[in-house]
Amino acid sequence: MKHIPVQQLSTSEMAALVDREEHDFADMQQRHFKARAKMSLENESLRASFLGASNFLVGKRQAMFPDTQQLERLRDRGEAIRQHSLNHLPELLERLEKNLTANGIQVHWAETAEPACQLIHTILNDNHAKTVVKGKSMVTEEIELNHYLEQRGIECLESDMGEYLVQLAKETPSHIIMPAIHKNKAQIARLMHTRATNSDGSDVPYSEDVDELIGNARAILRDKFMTADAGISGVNMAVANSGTLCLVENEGNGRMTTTAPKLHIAVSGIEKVVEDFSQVPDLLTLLTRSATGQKITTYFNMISSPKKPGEKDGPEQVHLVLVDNGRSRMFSHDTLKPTLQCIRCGACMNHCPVYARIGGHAYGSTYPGPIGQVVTPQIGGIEKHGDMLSACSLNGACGEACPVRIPLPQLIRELRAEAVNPDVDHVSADSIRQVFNSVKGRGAKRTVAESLIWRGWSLLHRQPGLYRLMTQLLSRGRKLMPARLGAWTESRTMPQAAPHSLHELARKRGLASQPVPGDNLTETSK
Amino acid sequence: MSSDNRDTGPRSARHYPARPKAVYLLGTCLVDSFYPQAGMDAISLLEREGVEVIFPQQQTCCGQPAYNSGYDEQARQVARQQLAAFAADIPVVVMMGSCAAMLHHDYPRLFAGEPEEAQARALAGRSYEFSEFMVNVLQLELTDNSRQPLTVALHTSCSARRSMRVAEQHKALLSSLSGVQLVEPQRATECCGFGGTFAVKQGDISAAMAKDKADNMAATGADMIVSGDCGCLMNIAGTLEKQGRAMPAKHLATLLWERSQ
Amino acid sequence: MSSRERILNALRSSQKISASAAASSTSAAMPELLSQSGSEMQPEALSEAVSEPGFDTLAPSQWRQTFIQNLQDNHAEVIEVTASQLADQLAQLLQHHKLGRCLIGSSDSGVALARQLPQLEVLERELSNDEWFRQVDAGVSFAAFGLAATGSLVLITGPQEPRRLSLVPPLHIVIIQQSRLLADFNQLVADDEWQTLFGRDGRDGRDGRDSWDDRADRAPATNVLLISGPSKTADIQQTLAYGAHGPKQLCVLLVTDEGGHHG
Repeated sequence: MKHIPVQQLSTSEMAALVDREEHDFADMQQRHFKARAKMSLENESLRASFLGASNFLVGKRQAMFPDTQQLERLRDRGEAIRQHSLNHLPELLERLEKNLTANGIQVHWAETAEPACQLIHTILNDNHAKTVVKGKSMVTEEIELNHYLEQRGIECLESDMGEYLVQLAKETPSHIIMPAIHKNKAQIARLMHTRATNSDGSDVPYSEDVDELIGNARAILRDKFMTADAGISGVNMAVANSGTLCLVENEGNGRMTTTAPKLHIAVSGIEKVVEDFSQVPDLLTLLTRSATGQKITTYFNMISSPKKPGEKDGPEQVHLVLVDNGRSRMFSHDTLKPTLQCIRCGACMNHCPVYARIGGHAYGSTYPGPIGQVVTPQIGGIEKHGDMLSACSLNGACGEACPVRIPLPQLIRELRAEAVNPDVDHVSADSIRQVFNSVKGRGAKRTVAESLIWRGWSLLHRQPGLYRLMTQLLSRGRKLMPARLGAWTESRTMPQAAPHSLHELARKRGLASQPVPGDNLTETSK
Repeated sequence: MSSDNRDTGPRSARHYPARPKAVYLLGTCLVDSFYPQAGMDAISLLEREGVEVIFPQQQTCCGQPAYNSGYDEQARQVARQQLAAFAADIPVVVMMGSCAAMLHHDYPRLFAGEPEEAQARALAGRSYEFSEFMVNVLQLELTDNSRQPLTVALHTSCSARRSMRVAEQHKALLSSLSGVQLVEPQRATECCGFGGTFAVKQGDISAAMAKDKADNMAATGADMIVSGDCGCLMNIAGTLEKQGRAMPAKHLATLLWERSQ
Repeated sequence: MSSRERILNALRSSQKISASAAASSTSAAMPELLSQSGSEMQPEALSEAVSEPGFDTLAPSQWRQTFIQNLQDNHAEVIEVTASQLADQLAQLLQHHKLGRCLIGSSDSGVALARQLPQLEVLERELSNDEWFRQVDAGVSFAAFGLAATGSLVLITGPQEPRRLSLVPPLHIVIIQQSRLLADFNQLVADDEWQTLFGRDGRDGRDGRDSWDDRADRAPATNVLLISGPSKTADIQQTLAYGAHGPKQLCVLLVTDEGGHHG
C-alpha cells in the first residue's frame, strides 16, 4: 500500500481514519480472546506502540531501583503494609468510615457495579448536577460509570489527558496508568483535529507537536473544570486513622476535579485502605517508581474534609463510595486473596511479554495484563473471562516486578485450576469453605475433551511400564512422526525423538534404579 | 515472617548440603525422549566427581503439564509416582529448570493437606536444578580440553532464572571453560514463548515471542545455543530451523562434558 | 441488612473461617524455603520504614543540595535567596514574567511581602472560578516543609492560602525556608507538626488507646499537598510535556539564613 504522508490528508479523510479506528475497536471487542490477540499481533503499528512503551517503562522503573537489596527490602515492606491492611480489613474500613464521617465526608457502600452507579447518580441528582468532570479512576471504568450516567443525561468528561483522548476515540483505556498508550502521535493529532472542539466552538488545528496538543487539550479542559457541577475521582490510598483520601497524579486534573466543582465524589475499591500515615511514604514511593519510574509524582493530594468555614475554595460536599464488586469474595479465597494487595501500578503489564505483543484491548476487560488476568475472572466470572487465563507462559516477569509481591503467576495458575475444577456442585463436610474458597464460574472452562486428554496423560505417566512402552514407541517410530502437528509446526520444525531414551541408556550403563538398603548413602562423601 | 516465594523475587538464599556420596538423577520427560544425551553427560560429570548416580527406572514426569493447565488431580496422580521413585533421602539432581521448580516450589503446594504432604516437602527440600547442584554442592571445577574456540549464546529459562534463580550458576559453569566465549542475546531475560501448553493453546502469541527470541539469538552470531531447559531449546532451535537459519542447540550438561573430556 | 452490613459481614465471616482453618491445619510449620501468601505479618516487620531508594541516610548538610537538584530535574526553577533578598528577588521574577494579576496568601508573611511589593494582591476574599481561571497569572504560596529526597514542597491549604492558588494560575511561586527542609516523606509523617495536622493519626493505636475517640475538635487539615514540580504528562507517545492542567511553571524561592548557605 502506498504510504500517504499524513499532512496531505484532508480533514474529512482524517475523520474517516479516526472513525475506522473506532469501528475496529468496537469490532474487536465483539470477538473472543484468541481472535482479538491475533488481530493485535497482526497490527504492526499497534505492536510498535506497545513494544516501545513497554521498553520505555521497564527502563524507567529499573533506573529507580539502583540498589537491589534496598529494592527487596522495600518490596517486603510494601507486601507487609498491604497484608496488614487485608489482615484487618473490616476494622480498618469501619475506622475509615468513622473518621471520614467525623471529618464531614459522607461514606456510602456498594456491593456491585449497578448499585454503585445508582448511588452516584442519586447523589448527582440530589445536587442537580448535570455536568461531571472526571479524574482518572480505574474502578469507575470497572463499574462502567460514564456509560451509566450518559444514558441518564449527565455529561461525564474525562480530564486525564490519556483518558480524555480515549474518550474522544470512543474506546476504553489499554493500560491502567497510560490509557492512550496504544496511540501514536499521528493518531492523536488526527483525533484532536477531527473530534475535539474548543470552548468557543472553533476547530482544533492539526498538529503533531506534543506541546501544542497538550496545550490545546488543556485549554478545552480548563473550561470544563471551571463550569462542571461535580467532580468524580478515584482514590489511591485511604488513611483510616485520620480519615484522609490520598490521590497521586502528575497533571493536576485530579486536584482540579477535587477542588473546583462544588461536589466531589470519590470512588474506591474496599481494599485501598491503609491504617495510618506511617505506611504511606513507602507505599507511595513503590507506586510511583514502579508505575512511571518517578521518585514521586508532581502532586500527592491529601483530602480530609469538604470546604470548612472561612476557607475560600474546595467542594462543599465530599462523598466516598466504597465498592465491593467481587472483592469480598476474593478476600475469602485462601490462595487468591493476595489479588487485593494490588496498588494499581501497572508494572506487571509493563514487564509482561504477552501484553507487550497483544496490547491492552485484546484482554477485553477494564484491567489488562497479568493483574487483569487475575482480577477480571474473579469480578466477572470465569465463563465470560476465563479464556485470557491461557495467555500466559508463566514466565514470572510480572511477579518479579510487583512492588507488593503479589505472586501473579501462582494466582493465574490457581485460576486455571478453578476454571477446570470438576467439583462445582460437590458439597463436602467443609461446605462453607467450599462456598467461600471458590471463584465465580468455577469449572466453566472444563471440557470433556481436555479432561480426557489429561486423564489419558495421567494414565500413561503414572504407570512406569506404560510410560516406558510409550517412549519406546516414540523413539522407534520417530521417523514416522508427521512433519506438521498443529500450532507448533506452523513456525517451528517438528522435534525428533532420540533413538534411545534416557531410561534405556541409563539401564545399559548399569546405573542402579534405587539405593541398596544399608548402603549408607545418606552420608556425605570425603 | 515472609520467606522465599517462587514468584516474586529474591529473598533468603538457599542452604546447600555437603557433597553427598550418591544422588538421584531426575531426567525429565523431555530429556528422556528428546535429549537423552544430556542426561548421560550429566551422569558422566557427576561420576567423574566421585558421586554415584542412581537412576530410578520408575520415574516418568514431574507432572507440570497437567499442573500448569489446572488439572491438579491428574498432576497429583503422576507426582505421587515420583514421590515413590525418589523416596530415599538423597539429593535429586533435576535436568531442567522448570521441572526443578515444580518439585522444589510446587510439590508442597500440590500436596498441601494430602496424606503425602510431608513426603512431598522432604522431596522438595532435596531437589536441585542441575547447575545449582554442580556449582553450589560440588563446587565443580572444569578444565577446557578442547582445542576449538567456541562462541556460545546462553538462554536461561524463566524457571531457571526466576524460580530456581540459577542464572549465575549457568554463566559460571560456561565461563569456567577457557575456550568458550559466552554471549548473552539482547533481551536475555525475556521469555522465549515456550511456556509448555502455552505454545499450543496460544500458538500465535507463542510464535511471536519465539520469533523475537530467535532473531535475538541469531543476532549474537554465536556458534551454538545452550540452555538448561529443553522446552526452550526445542522452541528456539525449531523456530530457527524453520526459518532456514538453524543453529546447533545443546543442553548445558552436554557442552560441559564435551569440552572437559 | 444494608450493603454496608453485608460487605462487612462477608469480610468478617472470611476472617473467622480462615482463622479456624489455620488453627486446625494439619500442615507442619512451613520450612524456611516455602511461601505462605496472606500470612499475618508481625507488627515489628511493619514498623521499620525503608528510606528512598538510592537515597540511604542523607546527612542534613546534603539536604539542600539534593532538594534543589530534584526540583530542577523535574523542571522547576530554584532560586536561593537570603531573607533580606527575598522581596527584591520576587520583584524581579514578577517583572521577568511580565505578570498581570499575582495573588499571595493572607498569612502574616504574605501580607508583609505584599506591603513591600505592590504588584502582589493579598487574597482577602473568595474569588470566582472565572477570576481564577481567566484573570490570575501567578500565585505565590509559602511551603510548610520541604522534602529533600524527592524535591517536594509541603503545602497546607486553608483560609489564608486557598487550594486554587497553587493550582490554577499558570505560574506558581513557592517560598520555603531552608530550615524547614526534612530528609523525606517518612521523616515528615513522624514529625509532631504532622501529627497535629492530621489530628487523629493514631500511631499509638496499638497500645489500646483509641486515639480517634479522644480527638476533641481537631479535624485534620482539609487539603495538604506535596508538590514536586510543574504539572506534566507523558500520555502522548511517552513524550514529556509540561503544563497539562496545573501550573506550567513552578518557581521555588529557597530562603537560606543570612550570612551564607548552610552545608
